[in-house]
Amino acid sequence: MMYKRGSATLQVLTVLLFLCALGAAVTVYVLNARTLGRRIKPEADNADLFRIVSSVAALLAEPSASGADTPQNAAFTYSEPGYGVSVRELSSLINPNWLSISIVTESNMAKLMSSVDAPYLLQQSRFDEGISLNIGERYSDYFIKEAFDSYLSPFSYLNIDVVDEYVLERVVAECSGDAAAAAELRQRVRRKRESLLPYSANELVQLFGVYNRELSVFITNEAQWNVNFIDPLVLRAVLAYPAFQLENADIIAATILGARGSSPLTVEILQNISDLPATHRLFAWIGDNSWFWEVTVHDQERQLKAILARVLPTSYNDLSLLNPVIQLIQWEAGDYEFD
Amino acid sequence: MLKNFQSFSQSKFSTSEKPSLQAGFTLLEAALGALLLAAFSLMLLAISSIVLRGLEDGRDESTVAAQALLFDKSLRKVCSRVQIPFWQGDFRLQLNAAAFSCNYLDGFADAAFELKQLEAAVQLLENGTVQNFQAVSLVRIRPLLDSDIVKGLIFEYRIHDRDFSTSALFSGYSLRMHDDV
Repeated sequence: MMYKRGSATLQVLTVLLFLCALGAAVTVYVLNARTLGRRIKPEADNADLFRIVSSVAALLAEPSASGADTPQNAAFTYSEPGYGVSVRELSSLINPNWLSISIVTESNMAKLMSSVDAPYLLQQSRFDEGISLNIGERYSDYFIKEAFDSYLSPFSYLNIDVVDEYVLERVVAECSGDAAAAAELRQRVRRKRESLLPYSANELVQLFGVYNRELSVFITNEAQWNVNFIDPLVLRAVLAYPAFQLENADIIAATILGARGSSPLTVEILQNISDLPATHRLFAWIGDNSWFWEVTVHDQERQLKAILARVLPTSYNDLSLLNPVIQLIQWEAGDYEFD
Repeated sequence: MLKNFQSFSQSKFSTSEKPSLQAGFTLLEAALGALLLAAFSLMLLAISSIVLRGLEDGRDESTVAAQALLFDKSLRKVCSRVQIPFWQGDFRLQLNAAAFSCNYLDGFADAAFELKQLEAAVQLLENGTVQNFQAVSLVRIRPLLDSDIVKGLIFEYRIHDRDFSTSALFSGYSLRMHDDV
């Protein structure tokens, strides 16, 4: 009897010891599994925001019935539950990188400059120091502060017929690495302008010569601003430009602004309204296509600001026609701040 | 009679209070218990040894991981500041494991960030600030290409004999082809 009681105590102790050992082993395993096996929470990759930008780009790439890019494009009213989406056309704004000084000094665009001398200082500065996408910092000395909010953008292609010739030389020198060729190109452009005729696509290829590959991706003869998006102040300034010698510029401007509210405008309609030939230099400034857009997508926490660009049809890379016509070229992701 | 009863009771009680050998553990039981305790102690020792080694390995792992994470984060951050303009201009990408540089930091052609391989560290220089990453050695840096367009950089590096790779995107890229990079 006593022997059995002692044995039972020993068995209980043994079982308890094994239970303790088992418990300790399980505890160690669980602790290690929790520490080492814990998944690192992936950072938000904003894939959903980029997907919405892609959807907007697809809508912008769809050709319209009129062939013109207009505010009636479905991209401008694109929406998705849980997200805020806004699209802003950029290429009809003034690009301080390419801006011609003559049109500024001889029109009411001068009111956007910080001083009377600012256009000339801007011209010299661009030639000496080059151009930049960061226009707010780069050109803060030359434009009034309000101009950066509503009228200026660094996103537009360089139109060979309207660009300031000195910045043309500077940027060609940067992109080709050949300062002599850049100076020669500027001289040839100056002589061409004296003929008052715009460049054709073939003439551009000849002008670029061996640097066609470097230059044709951003220098074009496509019109700079879209008549369907251009700001009234800029439109009136361009039409009143003395070199165009339009006697009824104010009436044409009012007609355009009135007409574009009801239906999309094309270059043909613009020619009819202005009663000018298709080869007139005005149509190097104003056309019916857009080239750059800013798409802002946000949810409750995140925001993505993306810049989309339509690839130039005259680009060196002919295969670009097989790739997406509209490309995402710049973006900035961050936290969404509710205004 | 009473005397006899008392002596009987005393003898009985004294007999019952005396510890019996059968009430405790036998030598065999004690030996078995000692063996079990020894086995258990050995098991605990083995477990604690494994745990300690694991903790040490984990600490080393976490140190390497922290160094890699810091370097990775810094590379992504500096790359996200690179804005190559769509016209490209004089975009300069010097690809060399010993000395690397890339311009267009914050969109300016003359602003660049650099990586330098020092003896036992990698140095990241951006806009006058210098960061040293100890125990990091650069293996290779190459462009991150998509349809022949440079959209970022791929950094391959080693930390304490562990290989790491970071693919970091620029925040902007040129429309020009980059197949000559």
